[in-house]
Amino acid sequence: MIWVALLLAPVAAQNAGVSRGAEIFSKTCAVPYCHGPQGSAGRAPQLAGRNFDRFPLFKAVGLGIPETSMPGFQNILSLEDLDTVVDYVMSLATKASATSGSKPAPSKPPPLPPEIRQGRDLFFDPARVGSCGTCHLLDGWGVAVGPDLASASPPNPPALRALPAKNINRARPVNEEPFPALVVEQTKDRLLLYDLTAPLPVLRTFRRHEVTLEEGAGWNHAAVTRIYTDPDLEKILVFLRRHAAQQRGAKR
Amino acid sequence: MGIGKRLKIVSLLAGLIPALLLAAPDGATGDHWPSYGGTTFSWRYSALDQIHRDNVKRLVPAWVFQTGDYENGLQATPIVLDGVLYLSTSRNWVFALEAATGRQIWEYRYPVPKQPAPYGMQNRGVALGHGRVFMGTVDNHVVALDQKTGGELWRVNVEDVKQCGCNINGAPLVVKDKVIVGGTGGDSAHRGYLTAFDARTGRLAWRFFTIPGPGEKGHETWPGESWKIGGGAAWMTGSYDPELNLVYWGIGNAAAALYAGSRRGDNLYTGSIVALDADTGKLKWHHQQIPQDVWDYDASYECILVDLPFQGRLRKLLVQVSKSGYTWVLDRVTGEFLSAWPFVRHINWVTGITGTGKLTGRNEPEVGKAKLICPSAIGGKSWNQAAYSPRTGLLYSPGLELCNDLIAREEQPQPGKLFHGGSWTMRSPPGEKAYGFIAAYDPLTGRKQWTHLYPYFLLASVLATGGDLVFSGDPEGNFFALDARTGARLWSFPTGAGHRGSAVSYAVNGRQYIATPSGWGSLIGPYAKAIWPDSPPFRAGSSLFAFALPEGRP
Repeated sequence: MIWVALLLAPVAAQNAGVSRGAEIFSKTCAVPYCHGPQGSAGRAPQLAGRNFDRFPLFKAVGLGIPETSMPGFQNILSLEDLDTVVDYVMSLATKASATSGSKPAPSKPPPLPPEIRQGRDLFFDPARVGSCGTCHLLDGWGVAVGPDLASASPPNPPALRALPAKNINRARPVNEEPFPALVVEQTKDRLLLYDLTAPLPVLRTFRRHEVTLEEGAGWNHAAVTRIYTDPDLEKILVFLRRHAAQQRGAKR
Repeated sequence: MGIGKRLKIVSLLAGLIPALLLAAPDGATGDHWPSYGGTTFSWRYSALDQIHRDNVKRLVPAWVFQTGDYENGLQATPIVLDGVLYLSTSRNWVFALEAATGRQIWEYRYPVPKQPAPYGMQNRGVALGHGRVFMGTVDNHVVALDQKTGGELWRVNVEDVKQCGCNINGAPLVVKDKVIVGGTGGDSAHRGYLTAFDARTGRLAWRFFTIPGPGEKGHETWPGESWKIGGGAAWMTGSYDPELNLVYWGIGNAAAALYAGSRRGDNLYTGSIVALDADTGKLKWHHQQIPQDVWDYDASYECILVDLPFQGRLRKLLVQVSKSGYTWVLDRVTGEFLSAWPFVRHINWVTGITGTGKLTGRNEPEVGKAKLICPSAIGGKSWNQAAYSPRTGLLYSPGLELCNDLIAREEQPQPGKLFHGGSWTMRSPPGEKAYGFIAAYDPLTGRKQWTHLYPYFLLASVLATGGDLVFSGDPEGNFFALDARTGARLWSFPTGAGHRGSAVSYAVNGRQYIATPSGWGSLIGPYAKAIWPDSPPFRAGSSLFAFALPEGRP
């Protein structure tokens, strides 16, 4: 209830307590896990150099931001103290280099429908070492080792498992067993390649004369997709198709 | 007695002494400082004694190396082998220096991305083995460099940094043919793990999830889906006992850090020490210090491996000075709890710990209401490490008398995003100002020999040496030596920037050096002003100071 009153109350004098606000900020908001000294960012977002509108900032400080670690301070700080902290954070806008300027906060994408969510969760499943995201970058997550999956996807799980191993060679280093390799860069002295032996691809650097490349790797997509069942892959395909459709939509 | 006979007796004795020493594992270092904790027993003790109590006053800088990386101070432990010193900085630059002169042999700069993980750009050191230098990175990779040239040999992405919201700032641990790394992420919606890679190729060898998955023992300590996002980061460096072939690692707090409403249960193996088979990563035993942690008390600090008589019997022990203000003593063969003793005065999160290791009188944070809890989440000790001297039989640890107001809060987890479950506000302990110290304890009973007080926090590691000296540094920039037996301050040198790293000792051509990083930083470093508004400025920097006695005058 007090909060309602607060929102309706006239804004206090803005220069009232920047120094008092700084003190509260340093003890409450700058804690190591959060906004850092002078709002320079610890683990939580940087506040320095950003231009906030007073009202949303006040609301965020007082009520917190849902679904984040930003708590509300309405029951922790007095009304006056809340006000001075807001003054202080607003004063940081002019102090730091305005690189982040008035950039609006990125808008959150709408939540995915459950059937697509399931596929995405499986694609990036951290409990499976060697999940799809280990080799494929998609939707802002993952690692771009393997091909881009943004625009196309196979019709069914067997087809997904049978995808051909494009551009994968057999690398035969001196004093080491040969292994499946995806070449990233080749100069006259140096060879940079992904070693695909283990579930996590290893980017390895060889001197050119230390390794020879041969056709036919003995690597296949079926082996690395074995950590998923067919029903898992079916769900992953639903996610991939939806993603591909969105990509096409965006291009149009 | 003729000279011949006397020699015979001496050689007989000389034959006996190493045999006796071999019976108990030796965690001391000599000319080299091969591993993060000195040796894999993590004593942070050098047996070198050229510099000792009587001549330490004459210690002078032999050389200074400026890294040029002023991000977040210099927090590393230098590694020294065969007269070469390897040093990493917060931005993941690595230097190989001549340990006698400071001259640079090579330099490597990891390509740091624009937006690294939320646990900050910082690094605590490299590991050495198989002709390679290993480092964890701010964007959650492990890299292996050629020890001779600094050229990159392999690089592996441990988990996509955007997905996990975690990274690596601890030093890796080399064990036989593997390199083992943990990571941050314990205050994020993330499930922690340790990963071992083949040191030669970088290929994944094993992964140990610190939270058991479905079907695994211990999974029942996590309701619903909470195991997927329960924290348990192994963000510091472990220890290794070659005879038992066990790797010991401290596991961090459960997430959400301050609110357990969605994870009622013991939450294994958060707040625990785990012993893993070095070859397979399989769990041999665990001891949980803090079931269902709601105070952000990790059990992630260094595990000091010592063999000492406990209640009349020589036992293989593990000693951990923990964040919660207690030091835990375990049998490292079985994981049996032996004792826990308080090393700070202000402890109120429990009323005590029973003879079997059970917590009594839990004082838990409440939703929406501030409660003063001691020690603070910075810890009765931060991650800077203690030292153990076999000569004095004492454990030398930094400590911090500081409390915090905790407020719990229910929070919706987002994978890879912060998952705090409340907030922290640092407070002085009731009735006094917050302060730091280094103290000397009996490692098994906690009986205190001496205390070196300091008005602010001491966040540099401790180094003990065979010259009966204890070295450390303060945030004002002083690097100092204490008498290991009395705590008397015998020497100090102003390096000009605060100390948040770990000093080491080594020798080149018979000359002993003490090397210390200098340069204030880390997540909690800048927080000093909030705790001690009247404190002097603690200066940033990033340099390595190597001290020695003036040449030719031992």
